[in-house]
Amino acid sequence: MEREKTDEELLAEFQQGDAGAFERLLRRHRSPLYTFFVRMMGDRARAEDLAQETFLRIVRGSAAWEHRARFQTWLYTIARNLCVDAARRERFRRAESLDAQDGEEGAPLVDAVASGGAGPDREAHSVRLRPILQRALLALPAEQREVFVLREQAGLPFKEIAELVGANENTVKSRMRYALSGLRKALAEVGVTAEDAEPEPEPPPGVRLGRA
Amino acid sequence: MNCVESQDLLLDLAYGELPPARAVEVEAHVLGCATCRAEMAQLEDARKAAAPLRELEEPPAGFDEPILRAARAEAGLQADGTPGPVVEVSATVKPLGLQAARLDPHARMRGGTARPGPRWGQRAAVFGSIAAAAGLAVVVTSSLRPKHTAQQMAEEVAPIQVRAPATVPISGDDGSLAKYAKAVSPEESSTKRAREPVAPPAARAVDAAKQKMADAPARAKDRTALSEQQAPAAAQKTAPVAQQAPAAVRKAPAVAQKAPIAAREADGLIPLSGERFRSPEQATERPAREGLVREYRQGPRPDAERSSEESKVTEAASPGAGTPQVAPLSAPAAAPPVGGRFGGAQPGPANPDQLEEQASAARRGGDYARAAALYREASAMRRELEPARAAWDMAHAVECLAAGGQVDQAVAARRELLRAFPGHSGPKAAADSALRSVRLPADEEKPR
Repeated sequence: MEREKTDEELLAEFQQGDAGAFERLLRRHRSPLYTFFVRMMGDRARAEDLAQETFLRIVRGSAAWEHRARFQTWLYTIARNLCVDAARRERFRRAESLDAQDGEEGAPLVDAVASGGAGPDREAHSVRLRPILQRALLALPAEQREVFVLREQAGLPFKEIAELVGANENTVKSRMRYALSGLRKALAEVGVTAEDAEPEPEPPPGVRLGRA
Repeated sequence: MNCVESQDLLLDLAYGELPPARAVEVEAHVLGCATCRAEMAQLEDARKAAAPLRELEEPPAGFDEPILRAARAEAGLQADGTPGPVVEVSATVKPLGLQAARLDPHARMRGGTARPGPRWGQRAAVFGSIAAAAGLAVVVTSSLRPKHTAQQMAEEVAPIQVRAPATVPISGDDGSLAKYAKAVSPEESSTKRAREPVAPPAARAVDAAKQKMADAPARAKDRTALSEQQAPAAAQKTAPVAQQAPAAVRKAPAVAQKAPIAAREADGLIPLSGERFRSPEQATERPAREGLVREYRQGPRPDAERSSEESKVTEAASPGAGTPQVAPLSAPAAAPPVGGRFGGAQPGPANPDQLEEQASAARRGGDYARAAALYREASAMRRELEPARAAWDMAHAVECLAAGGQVDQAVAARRELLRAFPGHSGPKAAADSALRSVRLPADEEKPR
C-alpha cells in the first residue's frame, strides 16, 4: 500500500493543478484547524468563518508557496494572524460599547460546574469538563492561550510555535508553563482535579495531526 | 545535569520533543530530584486536566464547499494558465499518481512554465472546454436518469465494452472482466440514489449545479479571447443543456436487449464496490471528498421529473453537444468477449480510487502495462461522473504505455483520450509530453 503523502507533497501536487490533492489536505486539517479556532475564540460560528478563510488564503497563496517551512506551520501562521486580527476588532468593538464591563471573560467559572460529583462515565465527564476548561482557556492572556492551543491541540513543536508567533523558544515555553498552571488553578478553584479529567496523556506528539 | 537545565527541559520532555538520549538524561535527573519531580508532576497533572480540550470538533456541514470550489478554480489556473470553465463545471479533480508521473523518465509533467503554443491554441482550448462543459451536463445527467433500472444500466455498459477497439494489452486473467462489471456499480448506486427522498443537501447541490451550468455561458462571453461568433455559439450550446439537463442520450436501451445475460446475472451479484459506492447511509457520513460525487448523483434529481417533451426538445436542441461525449470512450477496450465470468466476480474492492492507487503502485514498480490497464479501468469507471479525472487517468495510461515502450498502444490511447475528452487540455498536454520523443504517425496531431 502506498505511503501516505506528506502535506508538502500534496500541496506540490495542487500547485501542479491537482485539485484532488487539495481535497486530501483539507480533509486532513479541517477538524484540527476548526478546533483551533473554537478553542481560541470560544465561538463556533466565528471559528467556522475563520477556518474557511484560512483555507481560502491557502488556496490563493498556494501558487507562490515554496517548500521552505512545513505546510502546517504556514497553515497555523495564517490562522493565528486571523485570530490576532479578530481579537483586535473585538477589543475595538468592546471599547466602543458602553457596557464594556459586561465582557464575559471574567465570568466566574463556578456556575459552569454541574451539580453532583464526578460521574462514572469518562466520556460524559469529558463533555462536562470541556466548557469549564474552555472558559478557563478563554480567560488566559491571548499569548498564553495561543501557545497552549498550538502545542496541545495543533501539535506543533515549541520551535515552530516560536517561529510562528515571533518570539524565542524560551519565551514560548514560559508562556506554556503559565498557561498550564493558569488552567490548573482555574480548575482547582472550581474543584476539578487532574483525576477528574482524562487519565491518559496524549500520545507522542505529531502523531495526532496529519493522520486524521 | 542540574536543576536549572532540567527544568528548562521538562516541558520538552512532557511533550516528547527531546531526542531519546537527552530524554533519558532528563528523566534520570527528575527521578533523583524532588523539586524537578514535583514540577514534572504538576505539568502532567495540568495536561491531564486539560485533556478534553484536545478533542477534535467537526466543522458543520457545508464547511468544505466554498473551499473546494476555490481550490478547483485555482487548480485550473495552475495547471493550464487558463481558468477554463471545465474546471468549475465538471469539478476537475486530477487523480493521484502525479508523483509517480514525475518519476517516469518518459512522462515529464508540466511545471509552471508558460505554454509554448500560440495564443489561438489556448483560445481553441478554452472554446473546447466550453463545448465539453455543455456535453458534460448531458453526460452527467444521463447517468442519473431515474428511468433506468439498475438492470438497464448494467446492460448499457456491456455492449460498449464489446464494441471497443482493442487497443489495450489484455493483461491476462487478472480478473479484469470482473472489475469491468463493477464499473456498473456506481451507476447502479446512482440510480438508486436518484429515487431516494430528497435530502436537504440534494437541494443545495442542485442549486449549485444549476448555478455552475448557468455560469458557463456567461463565462463564455467574458472570455473574449474567443471570437465573437464562437462565444455565443458556445453559450447557446450550453444554455439548453443547463436548463433541461435530463436530456439523456437514450440509445442504450435499444442495444440493451442484446446485452449478455451474464451482465444481468451480475446485476444482483456484484456488491457495490469499494467504500465510495456503498450504501447511502454510509456514503452520507463520508466527508468532503465524497461530496462531489454526491452532488452529481443527487443533483439533477428534480430535473428528472420534468416532462418527457422537454427532454425531447433538448435532445433535438443539443445533439452536437451531447452525443459525442457519451459514446466514444469505449469502456476498457480490453474487455474480452463476455463469458459467464461475471458471477465469479472477485469480492475484492475495485473502486476507481483503489484502481488508481494500484496503478500508481504498479507504475512505481515498473509494471507499466499493468499500470496502464488499471488506469484505463479507472478512467472508464469515472467517465460519466468525473470526466476530468477520467481524462487524467487516460493521460496516465498514455504515460505508462509510453514509459513501457508500447508506443503504438500509447498513441492509440492518446487518440482515444482526445476523442473521448475533447477540451481537457491538461491531460492532453501530459499525454503529449509523454509521447514527445515518439514520432507520431502522420494522421496524429503533432504534440506541442
